[in-house]
Amino acid sequence: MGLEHNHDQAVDKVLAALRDAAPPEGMEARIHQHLTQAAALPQLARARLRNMLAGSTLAGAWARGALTGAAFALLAVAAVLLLQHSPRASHVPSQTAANNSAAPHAIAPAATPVSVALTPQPHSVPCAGSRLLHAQVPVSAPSNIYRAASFAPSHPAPELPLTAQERALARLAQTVDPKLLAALAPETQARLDAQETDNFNKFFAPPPAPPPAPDNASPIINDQSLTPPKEGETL
Amino acid sequence: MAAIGEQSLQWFSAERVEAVPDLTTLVRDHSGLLYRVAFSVLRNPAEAEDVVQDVFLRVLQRQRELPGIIEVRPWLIRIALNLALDRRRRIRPGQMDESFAVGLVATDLPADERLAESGRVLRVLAALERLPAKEREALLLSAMDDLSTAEISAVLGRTESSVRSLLFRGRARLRDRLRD
Repeated sequence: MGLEHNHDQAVDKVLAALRDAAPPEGMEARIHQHLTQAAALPQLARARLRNMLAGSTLAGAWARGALTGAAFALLAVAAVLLLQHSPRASHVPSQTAANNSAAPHAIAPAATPVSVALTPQPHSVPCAGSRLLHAQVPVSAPSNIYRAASFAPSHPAPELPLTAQERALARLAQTVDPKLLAALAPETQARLDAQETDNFNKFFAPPPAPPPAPDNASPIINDQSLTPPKEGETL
Repeated sequence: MAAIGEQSLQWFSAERVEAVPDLTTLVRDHSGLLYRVAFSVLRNPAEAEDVVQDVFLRVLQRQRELPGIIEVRPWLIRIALNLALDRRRRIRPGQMDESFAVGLVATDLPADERLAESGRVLRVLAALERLPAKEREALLLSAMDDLSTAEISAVLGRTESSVRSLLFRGRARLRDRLRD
């Protein structure tokens, strides 16, 4: 019990010490000074900017010149962008106006006309210089533009350059012996192989067995017995 | 009618001007309490003073919001507490506890008793640090005499009964840990 009392006392003592902590001397003054400096900084920056822009010093003139230059540059960029975009925007209506005679193909409920390339239909009028014709398709939303674009004819992709293997084959076809070339064909090669195998078998095949001799045939004469012995050879 | 409207507008604007406290007044009235709150968390005089400065810098940056704040004191204490807790994560815990504990012990005691007493204070501080955050904050704020339970509940964002419960549980836990 006494120990617990001691613990409680210790806790109370620590909490009381934390409560009674006195702020350091001059803290308020330091805080005031700090706050004054902090409040003066933005004003100082604003004043410097104002002096720079409105003052008659050389730096002020430079700053004004730089600002004016930047503004002119922005205007020039904006004008260039507008000029780049304006012909593209005016091109579409002229194209649609030229093809107004074509029969309209209603794909979706109409709201704004969009020019779409279509394959020639029996009832359509072909355009000069092209087998495709442009019909005015009424489309109401950007999604319909994509849908109408799906009706456009597909063009084959441009030819790609030959690969190294293809180039080698072309060179082979132009320069090598036609017999060798024929050997490249699997059917010809197989026929040649089969022929070669036949030839090989014919050459190395065992000779055919002799026909059997008749019983009343003349006796076989040993040729060796007829020939005279050579010198030094004993009988 | 228009004159009445103008008068009421003037009256309201005058009320508002009076209600908005000046920054100098805020520093004069609340810097001491804010220092103690920060010191109870950090136990370092220089760091606590920095926290108080930071609090008033925040107030300076948000001076336009001051008229909308109903209770300025809990708001300031909450800022100070949060800043002190942030700063405490950066400094090593228990860095200043030893000097604080030595400062608490009476100098007229014999050396061995002084050593035992400072050890006891250090154990209390260590147990305080190991408490759950909300219980510790409630205990530290309750140590400030001039803070009511309602104000502590406003600072911690809890109900008054919850704050009382936190205080009870924190105290009991502290006692248990010191007994072990």
